[in-house]
Amino acid sequence: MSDLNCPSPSALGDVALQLQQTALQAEAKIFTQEQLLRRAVNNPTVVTTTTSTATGLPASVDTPINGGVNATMSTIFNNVAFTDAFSAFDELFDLGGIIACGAAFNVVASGAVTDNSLRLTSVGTYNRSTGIDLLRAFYTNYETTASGGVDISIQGVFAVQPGEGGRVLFRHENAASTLNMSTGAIFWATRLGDLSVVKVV
Amino acid sequence: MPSATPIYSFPYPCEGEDVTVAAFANLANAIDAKLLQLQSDEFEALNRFNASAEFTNPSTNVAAGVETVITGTDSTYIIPATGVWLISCTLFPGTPATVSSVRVRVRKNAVAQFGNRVNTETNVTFPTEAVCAIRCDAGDTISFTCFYTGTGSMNVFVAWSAKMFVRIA
Repeated sequence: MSDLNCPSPSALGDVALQLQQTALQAEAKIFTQEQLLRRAVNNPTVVTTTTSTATGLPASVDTPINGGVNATMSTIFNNVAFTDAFSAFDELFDLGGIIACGAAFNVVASGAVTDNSLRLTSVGTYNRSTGIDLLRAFYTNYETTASGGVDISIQGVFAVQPGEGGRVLFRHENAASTLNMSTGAIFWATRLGDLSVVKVV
Repeated sequence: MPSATPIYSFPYPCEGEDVTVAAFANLANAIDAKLLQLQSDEFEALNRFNASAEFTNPSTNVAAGVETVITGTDSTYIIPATGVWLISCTLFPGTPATVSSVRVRVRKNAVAQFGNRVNTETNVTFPTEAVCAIRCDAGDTISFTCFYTGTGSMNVFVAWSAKMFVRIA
């Protein structure tokens, strides 16, 4: 049964007022439904990119690259009002839930390539207080001296508790030189849905 | 002087005005139009675009050291609506004379967006995947390229999928 006000027989003179109330009540109800619809279908999503070269990625170190390292960054898409392209990827994980995320980038040796040296990328969650990695997806690659740089892409889907962080780590074993991450690296994350506990009876 | 609600501008007569049947009709029509809009939004939200191809056909011949555009049926995809799209592809390489690395790249309007390069120094090739979410506008063309280091040439296929994450109205 609707809770829109009904006019009373003694209030025929207030028809204008009645229509106003009906209009406002209908608007309030539709507005609520629209917000629920938008919340359900507009998955929080961020896509950011580097706009300059990130230089000097060191060997034998897991370097977080989703913040651009020392490159400038810009936002390609953001419907969560994070204002900082450097931290948007990490901040989305604050929402918790089922989150799909990934990265795609190119790395080139600043000098010589150590033949068949490791290029290890991982994406996933970490504890903000301790910095310890939690859930991660890994992609392992090796660069040959003939390559002239390596394109890398990775993705993962994670169950994230609210307050956990997200990051993309890159590690290489190119002893001959540091690596540079080329302009146009892409970092993306989207919240697919709520965490839910299914009880089987 | 009639007024309107603050969010959707549903019209209503002000207190003391003569009320005609038009006032009822105008309010009802405005509410109906808004509900129809929500219904359309719901439909678009539940029916986000998905596209895929099992393999491009016929195969594309790639010479060593040459960035080669994949051709054939289903080798390109024209984005139907603006949004954030998850594009993934798998390159199925052949067996050239020698090969030390194989790369696949995804392009938007003939400009490389992302890719993946694998080390194949044992001359044994294997499928190479690349995946990323990128913003695309309606009418953008997605295509693919292959590049490898080695000698000779090989025939390749690409399988791909494109899924809309977020629709940008």
